Amino acid sequence: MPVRPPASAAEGQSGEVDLAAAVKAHLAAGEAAAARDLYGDLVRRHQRKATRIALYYLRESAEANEAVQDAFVKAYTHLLDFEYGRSFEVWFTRILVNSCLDRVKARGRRARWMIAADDLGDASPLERVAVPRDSTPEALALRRERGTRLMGAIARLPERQRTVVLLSQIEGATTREVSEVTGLRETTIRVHLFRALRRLRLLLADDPAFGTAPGRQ
Amino acid sequence: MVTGPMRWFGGWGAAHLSDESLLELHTLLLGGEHAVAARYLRHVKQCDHCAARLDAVRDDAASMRHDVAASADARITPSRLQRQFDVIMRRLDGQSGRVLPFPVTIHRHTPAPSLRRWVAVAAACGLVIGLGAGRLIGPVSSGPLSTWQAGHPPAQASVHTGAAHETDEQMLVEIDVALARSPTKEFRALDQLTPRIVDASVRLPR
Repeated sequence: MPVRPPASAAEGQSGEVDLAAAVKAHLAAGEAAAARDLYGDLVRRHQRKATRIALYYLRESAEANEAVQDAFVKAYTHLLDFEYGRSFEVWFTRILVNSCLDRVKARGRRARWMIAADDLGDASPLERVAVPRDSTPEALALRRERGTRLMGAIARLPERQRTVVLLSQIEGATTREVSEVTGLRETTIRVHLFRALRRLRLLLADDPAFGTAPGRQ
Repeated sequence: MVTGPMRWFGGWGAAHLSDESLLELHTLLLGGEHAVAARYLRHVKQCDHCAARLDAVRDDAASMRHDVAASADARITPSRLQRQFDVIMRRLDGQSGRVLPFPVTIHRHTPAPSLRRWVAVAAACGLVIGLGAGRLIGPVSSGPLSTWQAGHPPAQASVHTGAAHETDEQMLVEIDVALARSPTKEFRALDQLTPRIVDASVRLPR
């Protein structure tokens, strides 16, 4: 028996949970075209953040795009498993992060057995950051430099610390949301975050782009 | 469940919070653990120096968030998002589950790396097949079949190995598994003797 969403969702109100519920209801009712159109709204709503997260992990434009595409398609095909009342963003981010980690592992296998292709020369994509129009060249140069070094330092963190610091510190997710994405306990996440920040600070301690913060003794 | 801070001041005689304590306090506040942070906060409220240092840690964290997110955002142009959206919608229409390559302009497709890659794949393939075949028809081929050989007819095994490699990824996974399996010590010894392709590629002129 198909599960119907709350009335507000069927009427197309703005909440993302309602939107996801509405897509699910359309899918359950066999209304593929309507489901697809509504899902397009969800995609547009989360696309930029998803691409950003994929770039953090994969650091290579084409592969990040493929990971995002895969995650959205996978979420759509599994939307009937999505539970009402839960955050679509958290549920989707979990799919996306797993997809990215799978690709990172696959890349490691390829690196062990194959000569790296030239397209992996994009491994430092932040070096080719586009320039916002409203900044001075000096500020942009400094920001680009800091962004590059930060991403390099984050990439050196262990997998769990990297995930926690990216979702929590960079993307602003709450500890509870990170817990749902990673499956780790909230106290564990706090420990990972603390260790990650401590290690980042050590990694960047002697970096002139970051100077000496007043809090560092 | 952590009920108290993990670190206290730098020492009993220290007048200020240690750097680690400040960082932990920031982490606690970020996670909304105000009750656990209370012990630190009591000191910070009375100490202007530590309050200023905590502000600096927060500024550092905010700056990190801003720099990283802004750098990534700058790469995500509206046209790129639109192209990505179109591909997702097309895939939803087809429901094929097939990965469509994203139309990129920054890739440089040169024949040489591709050729090298396939040479490496072929070499790895040959290594696996050769060692497998060598094991099957090696020095003991003229003698009576071992228990292992008797249970696994050579012809069937080699045919199966060749047919199973449908994709590069699948093949690499199988190679990894083969190397990790305990009965295949020969692979491990050979692996130790063979230079890593990654190491070799570092030395190659780019």
